Amino acid sequence: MKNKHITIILILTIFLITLTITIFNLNKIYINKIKPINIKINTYSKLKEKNKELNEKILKENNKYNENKKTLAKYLIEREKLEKIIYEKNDKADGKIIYLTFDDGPSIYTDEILNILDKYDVKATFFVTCSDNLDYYAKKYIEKGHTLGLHSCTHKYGQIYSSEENYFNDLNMLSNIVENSTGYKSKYVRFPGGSSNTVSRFNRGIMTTLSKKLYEYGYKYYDWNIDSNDAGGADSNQIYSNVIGALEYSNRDTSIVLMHDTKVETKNALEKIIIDALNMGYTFGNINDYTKEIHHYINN
Amino acid sequence: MKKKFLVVVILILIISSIIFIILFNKKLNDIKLLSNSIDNDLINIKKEIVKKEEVLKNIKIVNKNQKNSLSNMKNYINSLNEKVKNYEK
Repeated sequence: MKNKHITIILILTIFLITLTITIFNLNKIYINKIKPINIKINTYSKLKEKNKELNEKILKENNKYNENKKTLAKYLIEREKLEKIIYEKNDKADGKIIYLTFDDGPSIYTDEILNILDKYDVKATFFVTCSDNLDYYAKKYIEKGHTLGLHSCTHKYGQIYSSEENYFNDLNMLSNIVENSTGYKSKYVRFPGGSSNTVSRFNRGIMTTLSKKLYEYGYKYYDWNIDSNDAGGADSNQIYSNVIGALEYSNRDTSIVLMHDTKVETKNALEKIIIDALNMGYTFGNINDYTKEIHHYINN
Repeated sequence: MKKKFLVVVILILIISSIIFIILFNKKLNDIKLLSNSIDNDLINIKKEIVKKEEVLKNIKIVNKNQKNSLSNMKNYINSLNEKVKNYEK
C-alpha cells in the first residue's frame, strides 16, 4: 500500500516538474516572439510620425510653389504692360524692328545663344518643342525677358497635320508642359513648316482650317519674312548673308527672322548679325500682342 | 475506486496539456501573422517615405529655382521701368 502511494506521488511530482519546465520554456518562446514585434511596432510608430512630418513639409513647399506662380503671373502682366509702352515708343522712333525667332529648341546651343542675346540686351522669341530640358529653359526664357512661343510637341508632320484633333492635341500637350513649369500660358504659335508648308498636302485644306481655328482658341500665329536658311544647311557665313542681306535691302518696319537654336551655325553667326543690325539702326524686339502678324500665303 | 480516480485525473491532465499546446501554437501562429503584417507595413511605409523624401527634395529645388527666376524677372521689370522713365524725360 505504502509503495503504491509513493509511486503515485513520484509520478505526480515528475509530472509537475515537467509541466513547470514546459511552461517556463513556452513562456520564454513567447517572450522571444513578442519582443521583436514590439520593437517593430515602435519603429512603425516612429516612421508614421516621420511620414506625417513629410506630408506637412510637402504641403508647405507646394503652397510656396503656388504663391511663386501667382507672383510670376503678376510679373508677366507688368512686363507686358511695360513692353507695350516701349514698343510703341520704338515704333514712333524709327519703325524698324527685327524679331529674331528661334524654332525647334531648346538644345545644347540654347545657353550660348541666350548669353549672346544677353550681351547685347536683345530679346528674342523661342518657338519650342518638347525637347529635353524644356522645363528648365522655359523658365529661363521668361526670366530673361524673351517670348516663349509654341511650335509643336513632336514636330512630326505626318501626325500633327493628319487631323485638326491631332494638331491641337500636340499643341495642347506642349502648352500644358510650358504652363506647368512656368505658370505662363503662351498664345504665340508658329506652324511647323510655316503656314505656307506643303508637307501637309496629304491632308487637303488642313492649313486653311488650322490657321482659322487657332484664332478661335485664343492663339496668334507668326510666320517670317526673312529666312536665314539655317534649316536648309547654310553655314554661318551664309546665314549671316541671308539675314543682313535681306535687312540691307528692306524697307519693312517689321522683320521676323526664321532661325533655329538647334543649329551650331546659327549660334556662330548670331553675334555678328546682332552687331551689324544694330549698326544699321535696327531695334530688336520679342513678339508680343502688339507685334505685326506676318502670315505666309496658305498653300493648303 | 482510487485507481479509477487516478486514471481520470491523469487523463484530465493529459487532455489539458494537449489543449494548452494547441492553444499555445495558435497563439504563436497569430504572432507570426502579426509579425508578417507588421513587416509588410514597415516595408510599405519605408517605400512611401523614400518617395516622399524625393518629392520634397525636388520641390525644394524647383522652389529655389523659381525664387531665382522671380528675382531675375523683378530685375528685368525694373530695367523696363527705367527705360520707360527715360522715354518720359
